[in-house]
Amino acid sequence: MTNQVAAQIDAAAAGSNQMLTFTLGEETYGVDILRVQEIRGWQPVTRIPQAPSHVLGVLNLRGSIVPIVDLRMRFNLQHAEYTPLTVIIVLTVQSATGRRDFGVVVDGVSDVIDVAASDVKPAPEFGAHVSTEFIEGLASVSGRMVMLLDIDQLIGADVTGVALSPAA
Amino acid sequence: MAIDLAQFHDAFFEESFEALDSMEAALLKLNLGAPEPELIGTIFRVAHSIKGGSATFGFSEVASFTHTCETLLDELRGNRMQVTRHVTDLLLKSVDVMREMLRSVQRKEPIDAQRVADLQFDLELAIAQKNQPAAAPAPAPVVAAAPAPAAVEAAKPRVAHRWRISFRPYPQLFVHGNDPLRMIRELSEIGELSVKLDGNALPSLEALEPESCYLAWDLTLDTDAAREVVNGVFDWAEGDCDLQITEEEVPVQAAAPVAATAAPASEAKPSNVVNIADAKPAEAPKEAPHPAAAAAVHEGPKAGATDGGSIRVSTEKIDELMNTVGELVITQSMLTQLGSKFTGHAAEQLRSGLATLERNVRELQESVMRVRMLPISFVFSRFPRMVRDLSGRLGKHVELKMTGDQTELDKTVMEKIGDPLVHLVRNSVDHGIEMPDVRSAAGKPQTGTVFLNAYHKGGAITVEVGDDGGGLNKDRILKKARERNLIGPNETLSDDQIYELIFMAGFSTAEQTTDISGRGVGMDVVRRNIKELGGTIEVRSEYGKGSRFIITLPLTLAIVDGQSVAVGTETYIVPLITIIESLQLKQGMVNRVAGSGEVFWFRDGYVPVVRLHEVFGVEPRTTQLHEGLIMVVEGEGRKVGLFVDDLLGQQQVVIKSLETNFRRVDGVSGATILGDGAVALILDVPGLIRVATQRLAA
Amino acid sequence: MNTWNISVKAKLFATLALTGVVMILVGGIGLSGTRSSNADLDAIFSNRFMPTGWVGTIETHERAVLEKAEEVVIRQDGAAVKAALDLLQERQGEVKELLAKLDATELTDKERQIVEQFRANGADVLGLVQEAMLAAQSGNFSAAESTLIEKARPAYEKLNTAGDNLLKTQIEVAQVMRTEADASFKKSSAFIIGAIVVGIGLSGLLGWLIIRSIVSTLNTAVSIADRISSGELGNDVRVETSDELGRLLEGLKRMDGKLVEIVGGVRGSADAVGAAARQLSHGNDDLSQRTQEQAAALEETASSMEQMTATVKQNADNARQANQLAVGAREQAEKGGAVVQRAIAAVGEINNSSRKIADIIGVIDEIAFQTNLLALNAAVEAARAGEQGRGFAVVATEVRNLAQRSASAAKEIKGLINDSVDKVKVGSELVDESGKTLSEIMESVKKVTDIVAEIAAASEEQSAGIEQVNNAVSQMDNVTQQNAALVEEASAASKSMEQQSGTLVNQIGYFRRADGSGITGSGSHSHAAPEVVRQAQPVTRPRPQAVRKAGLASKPKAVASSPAPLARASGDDSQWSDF
Repeated sequence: MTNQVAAQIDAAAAGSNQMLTFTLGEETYGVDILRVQEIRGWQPVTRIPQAPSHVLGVLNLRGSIVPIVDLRMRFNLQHAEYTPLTVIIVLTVQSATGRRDFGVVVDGVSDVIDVAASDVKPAPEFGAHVSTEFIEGLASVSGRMVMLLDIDQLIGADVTGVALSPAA
Repeated sequence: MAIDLAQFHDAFFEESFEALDSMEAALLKLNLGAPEPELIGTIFRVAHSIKGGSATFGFSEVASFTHTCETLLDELRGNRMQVTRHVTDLLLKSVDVMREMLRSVQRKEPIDAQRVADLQFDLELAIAQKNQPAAAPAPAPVVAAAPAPAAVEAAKPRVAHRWRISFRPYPQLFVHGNDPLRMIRELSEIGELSVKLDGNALPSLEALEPESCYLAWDLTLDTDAAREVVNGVFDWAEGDCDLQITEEEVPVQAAAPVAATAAPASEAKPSNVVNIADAKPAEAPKEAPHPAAAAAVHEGPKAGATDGGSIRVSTEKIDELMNTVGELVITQSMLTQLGSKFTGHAAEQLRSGLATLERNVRELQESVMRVRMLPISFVFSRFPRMVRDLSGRLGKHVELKMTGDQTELDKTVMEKIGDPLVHLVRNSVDHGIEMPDVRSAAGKPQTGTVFLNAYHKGGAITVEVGDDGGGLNKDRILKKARERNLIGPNETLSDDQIYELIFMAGFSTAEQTTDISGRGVGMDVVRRNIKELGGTIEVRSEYGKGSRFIITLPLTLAIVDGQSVAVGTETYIVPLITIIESLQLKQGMVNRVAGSGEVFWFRDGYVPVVRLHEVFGVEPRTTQLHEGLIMVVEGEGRKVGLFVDDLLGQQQVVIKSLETNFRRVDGVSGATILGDGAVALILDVPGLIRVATQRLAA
Repeated sequence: MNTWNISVKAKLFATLALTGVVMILVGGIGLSGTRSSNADLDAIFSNRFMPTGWVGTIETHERAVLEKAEEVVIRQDGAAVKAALDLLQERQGEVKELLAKLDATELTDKERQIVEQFRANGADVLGLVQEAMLAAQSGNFSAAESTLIEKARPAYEKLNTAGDNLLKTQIEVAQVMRTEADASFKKSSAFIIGAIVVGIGLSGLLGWLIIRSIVSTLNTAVSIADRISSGELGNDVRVETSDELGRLLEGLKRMDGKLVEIVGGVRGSADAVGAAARQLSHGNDDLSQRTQEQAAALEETASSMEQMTATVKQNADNARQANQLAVGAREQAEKGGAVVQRAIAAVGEINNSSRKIADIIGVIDEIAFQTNLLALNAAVEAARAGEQGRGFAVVATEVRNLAQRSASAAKEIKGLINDSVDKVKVGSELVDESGKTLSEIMESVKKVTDIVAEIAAASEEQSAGIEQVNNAVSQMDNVTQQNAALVEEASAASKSMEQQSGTLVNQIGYFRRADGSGITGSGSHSHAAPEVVRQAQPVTRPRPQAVRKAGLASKPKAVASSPAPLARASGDDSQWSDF
């Protein structure tokens, strides 16, 4: 995992890094675009028993079974209705047990932005509901503050269940 | 051609690296002085495969080096050389070098030629030093590395050639994975071929060694192909045959050195090495060539690039193909649903078109599914040799009968069924079949029979391993079990329960442990493996007459026959194999038992009710037992009544792992994609029963 | 006179008793004379006549037996002996009997001697015959013969002689007895004649005395009765005796008194009846007057009803007209409603179209969203492609911009459409409302029409009711006419009654007192009744005046002016019914 981060930092250092930004409530978050597999509209999911509440269920993504995480729930935000305009971003994470795909439900996708490495600043301590351990850094793009998420940290344990389910 | 082959480079490298890993592991495990033949066999196979592959793809340096290794290994395998630390060190270094070389090739970087040459020299030196009587190993790589130029040099004519080929395999030809029929077929593709069979060497039937080759061929080939092409056909047989290729009246002795090199090997008696991969079905070397595709998947390097009838495809790609086909099926069923809404003349045509589409898609799905299927002979083929070795060592007369070895099953299942079968066959030979004098005394023929039988039965494959030996001695099992406090001293058990005991860990009734069996680590592992596959094992035995182990396995791990059930808005798939009966409970049929929830009387006992909606925490359509349905399922010998809202239909579903992107979920063995594209979970009945029991206990 | 105070009944009874005693005396004497003569006759018969017969019979029997025996002897028939003996036996018994009877009669001593002689002689004869017969039986006929001839025959001769003696004696005795009877008869006849003469003399005397006393009293009674019948009452009657005649006079006296009383009562009553009849006559006149007044009032009522009928008819006509007007209004309102319906439908179509447009806009929005996603995916792919993907990324951004623009445009249109949908909704609501109002108006008009129709129907009913009232009034008129006739009849009857009561008073005047004064009515009320009549008359006087003023119609005048007979009244009846 540290390799990944290092690689990212390298990439960032090399020049600019493209980020996909999305909104969640009032805030804007960004993920490395290379981690994005696909962006798709909302679709009903199949529930998974014994799963954490923010893991809504699984979805058929071109033949593979992909878990869907509601980021609002993950961040303990107020629950929002799922509409056909709700967006699922399918991301790839590197977890302790290997590469995995999963989808996150977000309010909406904003843009693809170029973030120069110099624009990324380390995250200060947040008083917000997101603990800083999931924030890689902050970037200010055309006046907007974008929180860059460390999805490996955020999701990895959830979807693999290493930390949660001893059976796995 | 080169472009085509380049597609397979990735697969080749990938396999080679894996193979090298296993070779390395095997080398590390190798006991100095008393090397396990299986390990040496494994190591040899790796070297052989890499040699073949790299030659095919034109990585000549790799092929050359590997050949040297192979030569050394062959010596080891033939016990003509002792396994010493020096040798293993050399071989481990060779692994490193080979890995390095392959990586360089993969990255299209220059190979560290010096290092390779040094090591190759060391190897050759070792062969030369330790194996005095053996023929000089040196020529071999030469031949292997560059047979073609020599041949090309020798046969230059541009006009049509008439090659006269004398092909006289040594008996062990099959053991090395060569197939004369394949070669002949290949030749026939190059040009016009006439074949003359020389069956003089055939012994009488009693003396016939099923794994030996007694036949020889005289072939005449009219072709435009150059000698090197003809020679290439026999590339892999070198060392295992006498080969003479002559043009017109001019006989060419090109193969002589090869023959000379291989000669000593041919003299070597078949060792106790159980070589799975190279073993061939004994009965029918001529009549039953393997399906080309299957062979290609399983033994890619052997088939080689020259085999136009089959290609090597990675299982991943097949899986992808299956996914795509699955999506296609979903799309098709969507279209079918949509099509039923139209009316009019055109709609009729549309529907007939959709029906055709459906049929074709189903066929396509089945075809893709079949691609994964291999005949079980790939597993069975190792047994003749094993039985022979074992019986020889034990001084027993044992005959192995195998039937149904063309029964197909999924590759993943086959990979996992080998070891349990080996255990069972060993047990049969070691414990089952009595010594000849005992048999005579019991009025049985001196030669005992071990039989293997495979057949399809209701969407599953059943493999039976049996013998006509002494059968299981219940008293002894009981006594042993009591000694080990596995059961109480006064406990009485039914036959089935007694037989169950032999599957317990650490249980062996053998008086003395042999290296073959009796260490008590057999049967529990066997059962665990089979259960992991979703199969069952069952014992039938009659004391004094023999015993029979019946293994039932799913045909494939990729597909399951399932019954879809509805609970609330969710759909679940219950594997058909676990379902005993579905029924509707009437009011008053259910009893409440304190501490164990609800039970009802089913056939000959009380069966607890497991409410699926409670276990999975979904909102059901009804919580009234008499309004829904009860599905009696069995897992690990326990029956429960699964309470569901409704039964939907039976269908074959493709199993998708939840673990790929998520994690294991208790009570769920996987997921599948339904006709409407939605995901349905497949129930893991034993796991579910465990979860339900824990819930009750909690 | 006091001696005659004995009742007439006793006097008559005493006279008759005296006459009876005389008669009994005479009868007794005659009866005893008769009885003694009868006793004599009886003695002659049984004691004298009968014994003579019995003597002859005895002789006959004796001779028969003798002759029998002689026959036997002569014939010397032994066989007949027996028969002869039997006959002897038989005759012997009979003779004995006769002799016993003879002994029972009253015989004189002389006679008794002769009878004893006779008896002895008879016994001899029979004994001798028996002797002879016994001999004959033994065959000794000769002895028998001798006995018979020698002894029996002479015995018989003696008997015969005795018998004759007896007869002679008898006759002699009877002679004596007859002479004795003649003498006693002569004595009794003389006594009887004497008794009869005495009795007749006594009876005559008594009768004369009795008749004399009765006749004088009866004469007094007759004279009293004659006076009463001639109307003379109050006669002085003296009663001197207390016998039945005295009581007769007493009764006549009481009758006289009573009659005086009754005639006085009748006279009073007749006077009262006369007064009442007069009163009745006056009352009837009064009633007649009032009946005429009633008839006039009824005439007035009838004319009022006529006026009312006309008013009601007009009312019904007006209601009908109002109904027609209301129906017209309703049709108008319905037409308005249809127009409003069309308006509603049109607005609904507009609404539908708007909704469809909104749907389409939704699709466009959706497409924009999908395009956005697609472009995002493209951007992701472009990013993966690295440097080569740069250009593609630019294109993707452009596409995203376009998608966003179309999305925002779609949103704007959506807003507009939603706005128009809202407005259309408001419009359609208004139209709906006006439709509702119209239908309410229709409803009200319908109600009005209904009510007017009801009024019309009620008017019809009313005029029918008035017709019925009319009929009832004319019926009442008829009845009143009949009443008038009846009243006149009653008036006539009371007049005749008055006359009759006058006559009665005159007739009662026939009776007068013996002292010459007239008999007046008894009691004070005979004077009071005329008083009442006289007092009532002034009260009734003004009435006819009032009636005459009220009676406008001339026709009833005729009826009212004179008490018409019944036939006349019925003739007027036809005239009344025309009204």
